[in-house]
Amino acid sequence: MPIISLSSQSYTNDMAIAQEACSRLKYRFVGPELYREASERSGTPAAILERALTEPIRPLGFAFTMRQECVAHVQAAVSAHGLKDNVLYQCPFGAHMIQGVSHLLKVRLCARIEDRAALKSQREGCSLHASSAAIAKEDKGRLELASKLFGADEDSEDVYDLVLDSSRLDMGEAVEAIVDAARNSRYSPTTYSVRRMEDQELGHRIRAVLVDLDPNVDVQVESRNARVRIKAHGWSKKKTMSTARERTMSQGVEKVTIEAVRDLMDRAADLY
Amino acid sequence: MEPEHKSGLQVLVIDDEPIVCKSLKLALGKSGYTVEAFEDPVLALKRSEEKNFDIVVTDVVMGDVDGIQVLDHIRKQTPRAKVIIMTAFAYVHLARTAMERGAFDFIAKPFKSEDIRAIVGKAASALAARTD
Repeated sequence: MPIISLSSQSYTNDMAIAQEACSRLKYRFVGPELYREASERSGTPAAILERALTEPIRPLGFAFTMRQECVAHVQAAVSAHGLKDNVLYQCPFGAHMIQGVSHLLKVRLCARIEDRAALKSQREGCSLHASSAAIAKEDKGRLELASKLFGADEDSEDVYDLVLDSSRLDMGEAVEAIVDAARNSRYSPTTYSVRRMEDQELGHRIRAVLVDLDPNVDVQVESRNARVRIKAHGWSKKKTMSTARERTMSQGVEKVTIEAVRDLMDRAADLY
Repeated sequence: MEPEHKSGLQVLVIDDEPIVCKSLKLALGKSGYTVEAFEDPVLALKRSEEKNFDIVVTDVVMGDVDGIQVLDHIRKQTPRAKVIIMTAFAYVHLARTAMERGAFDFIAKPFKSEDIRAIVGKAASALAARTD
């Protein structure tokens, strides 16, 4: 059975749909505990990790490099669950956390802003107008964050395998659609996709232990062989590369190649 | 541990690279399967019309006939046969297409001989489970 990733706009009744789908499929639901698990790995408080993935970009807000570090830790936590069977996970940008795995079923829940605003107004006791404005602002912030963190359009239907509009479907219909999709053989695990998932999980784990050295560190893993491209220059180059190698090996790779990425300053220095 | 029910199982290997045909024939033959290997998928499909194979291991990119066409043909002809797709051009869309059309498994090249033996072993077990 596939791994299911559920991404949703706010106020779409996503939690209830996710839990009912899990009950029908006999899946484990993984949600907010991802922050706790990522916190245990990284030492960063769970609240900070959650804010890094949800707070909009502001001039004096979270440093972007800090966000990149937080995403790396949450991504490693998500990937660890991807190794297990029968799991549905829900987190911000969940569809981008695991890439290129054919047995990952990416589901998106959306709804008309009027319906979302009505739900927010009902739950929180604020006016419809205020709810709509808050939701629109939140959506804009989330799209910007997805673009900056993952280079992706969070609202693009191309990202997802199944897009459900909870304004048009009731909860039962939405759950049925997820269950039907999960049972489609096209999302069955294969030897290829399981290996891809294992390599991704290892890659994310490696990235999580290197991201403090370089927030843009690039890690590719194939058949447990890792290739790491990391910014390293000047007097600290040797030390950075040695540290990167040591930390990468500590994650259980069979072979590692470390490449120093030369930044603009390095290349400019060559000219003189 | 090799499954006991594999002896007597007929395996068809199709790959346009001679070395792959030879390697798989050797690896699977050592495991007790009766293996026929073809570099030409057209000839392989003709052979499959003369003899019912239990397991088919096929490459995808092979010229005029691709592995998905082989899969469709075998599934129509011998529905119980398990078809394993192998390819050097593994990507999500292809894997999903193969599985949706009824492939038993999908593996990316390069792989080790123990990998393909393990997958064929699983296919053999699945066949045995159906006949029990």
